[in-house]
Amino acid sequence: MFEDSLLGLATLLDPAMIAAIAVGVTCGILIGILPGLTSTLGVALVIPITFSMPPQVGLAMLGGIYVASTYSGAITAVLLNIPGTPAAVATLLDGYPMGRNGEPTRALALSTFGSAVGGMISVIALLLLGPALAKVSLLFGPPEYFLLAVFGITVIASLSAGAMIKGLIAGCIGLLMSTVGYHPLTGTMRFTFGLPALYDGIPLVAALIGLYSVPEVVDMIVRGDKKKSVQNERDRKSPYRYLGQVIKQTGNLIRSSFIGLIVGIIPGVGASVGGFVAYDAAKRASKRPERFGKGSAEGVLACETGNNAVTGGTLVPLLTLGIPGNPVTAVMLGGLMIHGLQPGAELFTANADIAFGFIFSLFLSNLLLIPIGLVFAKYCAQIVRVPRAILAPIILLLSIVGTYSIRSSFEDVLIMFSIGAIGFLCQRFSIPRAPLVLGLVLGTLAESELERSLALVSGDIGVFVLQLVTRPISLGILLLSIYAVYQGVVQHRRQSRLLDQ
Amino acid sequence: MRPHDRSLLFAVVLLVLAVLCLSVAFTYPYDSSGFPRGVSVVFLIFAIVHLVTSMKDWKGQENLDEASNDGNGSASGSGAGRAWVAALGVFLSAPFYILLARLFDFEIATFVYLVAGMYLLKMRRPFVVVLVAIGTLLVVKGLFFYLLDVSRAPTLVFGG
Repeated sequence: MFEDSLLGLATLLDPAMIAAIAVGVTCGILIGILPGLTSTLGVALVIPITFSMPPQVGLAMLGGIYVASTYSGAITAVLLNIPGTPAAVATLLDGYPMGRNGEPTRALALSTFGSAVGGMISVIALLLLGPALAKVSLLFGPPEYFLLAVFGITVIASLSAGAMIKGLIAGCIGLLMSTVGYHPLTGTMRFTFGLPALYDGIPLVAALIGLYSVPEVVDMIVRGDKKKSVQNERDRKSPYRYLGQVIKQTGNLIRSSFIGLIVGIIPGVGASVGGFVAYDAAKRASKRPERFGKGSAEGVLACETGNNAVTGGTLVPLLTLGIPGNPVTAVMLGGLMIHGLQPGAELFTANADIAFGFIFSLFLSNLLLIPIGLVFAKYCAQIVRVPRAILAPIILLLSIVGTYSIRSSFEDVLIMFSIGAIGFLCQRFSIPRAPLVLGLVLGTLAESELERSLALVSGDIGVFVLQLVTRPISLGILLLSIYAVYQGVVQHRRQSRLLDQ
Repeated sequence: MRPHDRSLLFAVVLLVLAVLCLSVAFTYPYDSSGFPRGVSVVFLIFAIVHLVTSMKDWKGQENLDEASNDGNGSASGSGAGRAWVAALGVFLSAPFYILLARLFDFEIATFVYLVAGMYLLKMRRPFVVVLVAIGTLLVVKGLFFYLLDVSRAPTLVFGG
């Protein structure tokens, strides 16, 4: 593992890699600050640009966007009382009051340092846990891989608050969409309706862009520009002078990082939960809990450390088992597959330079958050004023050109808009899009592993089902899937009861 | 149409879609369609469950409307209508861009698309519109057609 780590570290010597990380972090911060843009949309839009890059460079850029967009929601939370991303909701509790009290630079500095530390600790954990957990995947056979795909969809669907059935329907639609095109073994065309553009299946990049960009643009147009009360007061102290305050809170940083990491490893929970749990733990452990909610430095540091530590955590199941824990990592799984990489043991052995290079690039991305994030924070108020009338056509144009660039095909653009229509309907009728993406991404794997499993038992479905319940690992995954559905049902009933009350 | 009417209609649409998927999946040979058949069956089951719950919600909402004697449900109609109009505009913009790119070339299509888009979204500062359109065109052209070397489609007017 040490040699592989060195291989990964060596990739950082490539200037293209450093440039990709810096560009990724800068774009990620902009995405987090700009209203209406999400981390998922950002990653989906950039995948076509990374397509022609070497895999490690492309992944480093995607990683930079993921890390930075998770962090930069805090900038608008502190300055404008608007969480740029859902991850920064907890930051509103103390970040905004601190800014309002005339210390916006302090709040931004604490958020930035906390995010960087949380992110770096979670990346170190990913470095230590990833290769070990990936070895577990060697014990997996076709039935286990098939069940893993099912598990990923049930987990994300069941955690779609109050919409489990809709989430499962979205998962089914995604799985059916993955079967479009010729059958990998028999060559039979399925669901192509005679369109040659669909013979190779639905282009993944077009689908990802369509699902996330088109509905967001429609939403952006409908909502229009809202007048925002921009905080004008700005202290002129250097943000770096608050580094000492951060170092004094080592315990808070480590605790919040571990909370974020664990929350991230659990699929479907999300960065906002990581921030809230870390905030709550910091409040309980604090000697001055009465200051929480009024601009507490401990509070700002805890939630930002916690929510950015989630990023490394979510990548543990993604890189080792191929289970994405949230919509961004579901899209990133698509990015991995587009570069011909399969999560699991092989990623950490045959493609060790790429896997470890990606992990080290995440570490550097978190480090670069400090200088780049603090520069952007200064100009945040101006950036958020970009009118939606300018943003919406630019995003649509990037979606069109990005989709066209993959196969130089305008038919792909039409496919992208058609899938965008599905995404729009999903948004209008509160159907979560993440299970659909997951179904689309994992569908091919699920089908091929199912067919391999059936081939091993001569097509006997009874024997296959018996295998699922007699093999220890597959039984474990099956039970986890059933538990995920059960949890979804319990959660739905609880919410219905609350609504009735 | 009221929101709960729309939800019920959508549940019916999902059920029809599930039935269609199932019927199409069964037209393919068995050895090529085991997976889509299985998924379609599961889809159909979930669609039925969703329709049943939507009907329950619809009935509950109808009772509420009757109790409050306000059955017209026009409150959220305009917001939803705007979303559908916006969606239609966005979807129509794709063939518009493709047509321009096929007729002329990428640069003209991009410039016209951006200017028209900003104008339709009520950006009425010509200097800003032109500046943003040219700036975006240069960035996209540099990124995709120079850096990533994406091949251009032939055009009717300029060939290629």
